[in-house]
Amino acid sequence: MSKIEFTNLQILRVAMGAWFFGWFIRFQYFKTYLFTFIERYPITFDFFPGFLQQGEVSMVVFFLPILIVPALQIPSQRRMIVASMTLLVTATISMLHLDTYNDATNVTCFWSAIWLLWFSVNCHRTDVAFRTQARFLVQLIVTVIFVGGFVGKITPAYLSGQAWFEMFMSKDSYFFGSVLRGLIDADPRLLSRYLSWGMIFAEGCMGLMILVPYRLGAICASVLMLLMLLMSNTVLILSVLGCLIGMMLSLLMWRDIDLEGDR
Amino acid sequence: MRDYIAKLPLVQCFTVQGRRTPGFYAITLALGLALVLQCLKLIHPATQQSFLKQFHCQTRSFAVWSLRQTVPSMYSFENQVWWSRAPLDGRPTFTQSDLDAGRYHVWLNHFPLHFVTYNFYRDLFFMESDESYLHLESSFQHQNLSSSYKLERDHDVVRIIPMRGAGDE
Repeated sequence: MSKIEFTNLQILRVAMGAWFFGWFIRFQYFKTYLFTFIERYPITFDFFPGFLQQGEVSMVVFFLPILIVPALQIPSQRRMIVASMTLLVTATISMLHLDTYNDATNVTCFWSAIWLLWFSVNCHRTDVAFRTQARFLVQLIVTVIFVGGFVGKITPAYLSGQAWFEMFMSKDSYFFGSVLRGLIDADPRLLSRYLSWGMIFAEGCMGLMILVPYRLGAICASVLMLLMLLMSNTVLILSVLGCLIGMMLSLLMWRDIDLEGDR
Repeated sequence: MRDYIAKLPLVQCFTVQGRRTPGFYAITLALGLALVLQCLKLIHPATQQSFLKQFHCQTRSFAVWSLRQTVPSMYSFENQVWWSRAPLDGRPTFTQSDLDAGRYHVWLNHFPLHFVTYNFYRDLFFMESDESYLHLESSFQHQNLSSSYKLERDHDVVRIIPMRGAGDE
């Protein structure tokens, strides 16, 4: 195995490990949700096919990624392909299941799993073209995901800060808001407007990721996503962002390999 | 500037000589289509309505809805939910929640119907009366979408039943 092939497998391990970490950071929440509420209080909605309304399906699918642990421990191309497919099935079913469809984690994990599968299938490649394509696809995925959030907030409720106030600032549990109010003597609605603008600006910047050289973009995007973690007030947001941070940072492992135009 | 552009993976991956697999083109095309849809959402009223319907699970078929689920649009739009044990006629006026009085109002960051499913208070819909009512409103720029659902307890299961607005795409 060449040095580059070895590095490619390590990249997969890091990216897949971040996916895995992000997915299971919701374990505490899901443990209660799946085994208390879904089990005891089943809800049906005929818009969804029968299979995608069954609570047992969402329970099994949530734990399916455990199957990739052997691939993370002893990676090989074949194991990584099977592991990526497992993650793709997991994210796809979760994205379409009545119990879980709304969780943004599923969409980011879906696109990350597609990238992992593509990377796994090609991870024997040592050519520069493969590396530039891998970087481009990561940037395109991040761009598409954040453009979605950015565009969806170009509406009066977010621009005025009302949505932010109603969803976060008016709640006692919004720790970041409480800290800000302690530091700045300002109207909470005004603070909400600035925070809302801040989030729109951050998502807009992330949406421009495709127009930034890879290394600079990956570092800036990771810092911005960690700031989003602070603003959103819940560590669970790492389930949405963890796979993206993992993908972006994992490709920095190619730093010792000269890439034309990016030394 | 030329050096900067040359460093972009967007430029490099199409200028560096080498193999580009069908998988690479397929992923690029799918993401490109998603990006076009998101940009259309900014300016095209019909696209805006279709995204709102996606949020209310009102898309005309589950197959279309499934495909649209892959287009990232999390944490978007203004979404409000009203729940009441008494039937709701149009947009409710209450904005304060009072569970003892059997009513609840909340703003949600996306997919407002998840008020019923993705939460730690599903038991709410199984207590007291066999029926309760839900009114959802989502707005984006000049587009609005309202929909109403009845939550009906049928033995040990609560069924979500569309009442008005649902499925009329």
